[in-house]
Amino acid sequence: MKKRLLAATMAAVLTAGLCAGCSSGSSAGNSAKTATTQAQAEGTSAAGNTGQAAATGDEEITLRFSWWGGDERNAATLEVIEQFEQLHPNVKIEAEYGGNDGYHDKLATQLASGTAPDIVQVDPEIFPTYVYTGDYFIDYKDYEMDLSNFEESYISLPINGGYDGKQLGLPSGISGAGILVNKDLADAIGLDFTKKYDWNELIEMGKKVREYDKDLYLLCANKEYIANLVVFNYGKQLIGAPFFDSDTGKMNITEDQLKQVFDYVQLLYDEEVVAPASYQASYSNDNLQSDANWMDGKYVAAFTYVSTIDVMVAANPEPNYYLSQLPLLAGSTESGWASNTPQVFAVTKTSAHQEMAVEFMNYFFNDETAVATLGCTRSVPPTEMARKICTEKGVLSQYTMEGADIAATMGGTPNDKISSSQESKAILFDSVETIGYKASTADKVAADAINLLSGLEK
Amino acid sequence: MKQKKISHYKTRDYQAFLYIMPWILGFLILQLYPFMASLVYSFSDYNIGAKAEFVGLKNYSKLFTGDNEFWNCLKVTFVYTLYTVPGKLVMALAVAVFLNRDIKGINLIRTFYYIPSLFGGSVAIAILWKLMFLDNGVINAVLNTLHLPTVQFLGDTRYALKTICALEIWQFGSSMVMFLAALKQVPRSLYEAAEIDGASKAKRFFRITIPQITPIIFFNMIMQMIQALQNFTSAFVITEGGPLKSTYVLGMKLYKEGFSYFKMGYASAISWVVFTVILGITLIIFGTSKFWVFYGDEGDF
Repeated sequence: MKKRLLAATMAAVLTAGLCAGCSSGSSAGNSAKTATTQAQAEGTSAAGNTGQAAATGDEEITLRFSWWGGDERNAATLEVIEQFEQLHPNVKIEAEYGGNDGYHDKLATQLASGTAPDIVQVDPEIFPTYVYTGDYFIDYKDYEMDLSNFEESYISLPINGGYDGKQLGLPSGISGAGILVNKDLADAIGLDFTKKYDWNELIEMGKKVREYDKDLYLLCANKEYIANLVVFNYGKQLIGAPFFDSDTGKMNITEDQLKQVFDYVQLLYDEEVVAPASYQASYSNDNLQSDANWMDGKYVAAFTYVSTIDVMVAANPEPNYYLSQLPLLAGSTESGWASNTPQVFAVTKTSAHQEMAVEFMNYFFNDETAVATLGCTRSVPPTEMARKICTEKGVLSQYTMEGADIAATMGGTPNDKISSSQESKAILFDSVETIGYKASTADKVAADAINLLSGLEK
Repeated sequence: MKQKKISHYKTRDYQAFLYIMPWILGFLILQLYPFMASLVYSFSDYNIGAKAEFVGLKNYSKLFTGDNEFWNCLKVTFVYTLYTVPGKLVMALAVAVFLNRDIKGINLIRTFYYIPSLFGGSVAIAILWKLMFLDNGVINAVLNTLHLPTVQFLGDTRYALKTICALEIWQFGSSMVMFLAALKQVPRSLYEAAEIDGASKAKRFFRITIPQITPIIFFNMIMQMIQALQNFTSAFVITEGGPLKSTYVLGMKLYKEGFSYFKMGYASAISWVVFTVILGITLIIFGTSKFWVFYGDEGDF
């Protein structure tokens, strides 16, 4: 009897709870509706006031925008988002930002599952992988995107977002690779990076540095930088073409040629032009600025991209610097590197509000306030108009400008889509690491790498 | 007691399914479906964004015969497991024995030792670990203060794996709590009897304590082994699998193949190999348990 009574009481409590739950749910739903209506009303009045949101309707719109970057870039981007939201009170832009590590792994999954943000920042070397594996991005040309400020010859390149006449991405800036030289140290040792020099001269400079002071190294680098800027550049200068043929997907580089490239990498480590591989391991990927030796001024120079010059300088601001070109293989006409964008911005096809996403991109690239706010947080801006504003406001650093000028002189061939895939790069990163650790010979590493790279041929 | 056989269910009895429906749906959608989907994908060439094509056992044959990296990963994963599981159990038991006493503030001390486990396999703690073990990190600073040379914990192939093993072993709190509970269950009368018979402390520990807590040792061993074979975070964050793939565990290869190289079919095959390895080792440990695990209730529940 007692049990029955208890069961009945419990059932009553549960039922009451359920009813309360339902009613509170519906009231919550009602209040949510009311809030939406209010917001819509406010949106309408605000739109009426500014006269700008009217064109895009009063519908409540939420956009997601993802990028990676440092504090300065994040703050500037968030400010631009805020400016846009003030002009479009019915639009809310959710910022999804963080570091570069794992960014593209996550993005690939989001694209495949249809959950990618509306607007995405993508590495231009990884962008082709997405473009050729799925139909993920809208063509800006199909929308009211003002491309008049961009130079057609620049944005039509695949590396800058132009694919088969479609504008799937827009370049965030003008970047390229170079060498950031600690002028004070280089002058003291008697090294001159201002003239053109070849790869062998780089080794000789490295030896001179070690003779000058055993605590110093010529170059701040890691396996990723060596693969990206030495292996690819030396290789392309050697064969006069990218590692894979862009049309046929077949390998251009032979085992002997790759061995020659790896022999050079071996020299970099053997002659102590760069720090030992075991030291570099702690500062992999884009973490050169964290290298304790760089911060202590124990390198004469560092591999760099235009977009990271300011970060490198900030890590050790004391010395005077200047920018230098990467070495050229004696007799080669191919520089191996072309000026390109550090990132591209694309609008995803899964976006429910593609027009508004494009509208935001329009504001991002073409509005004077936005351009002035963004400054050179993504390298030298991609449009003449933005560069002019930034120069007038003095937000472009001297080193960044120098770097962009240096990069502009390198009219080489960009990497093909297979070479720039993460898998191909991982093979070369591993190869450089194996050589650096002297775990195998350049011959064997080249044979293994060719074997693995051949598996990527189309 | 002989149970009464239920001959048939009434309609009302099926209402039970309604009550457990949230769990059933969660299980079907979030567990069973991905589980079976990965099995199907493991037999296909499935790149993210492309259509899956059935390729039979190609992924598995490539894994076992054409991918040298796989055998290295398997070796690294086993070595990691062999270091961390016994290391963690010994550490947890040692601290549990130390904390199994009545001293002032013991609860606070116990909490203090449990804290590392609260962080679990978090990325933040892995980053902290990395910063500590950098060439110019706090550990090397201490070594240098003691006039010892700098050790390249992350850059030297001899130390990198041990450095990430240390992180796993450091998080011994949950095993310790279970050991502590088990130690409290050992009847005091056994120790008293042994003491009267003149048994030394070591003898009491190995002849009474250890046999009495074997069910918990067994449980912890299984759980820690499963966790170790699935390790990913520390290898990914601290060493990125390097140097020279010396910390490239299977979990990391699975991630790289799937999310960096977009080969979901191949990654699924790796995940099923990991699953099979875990299942196999678990069954072996279960098989041996009858020789060394002693249940007070003879194993009946």
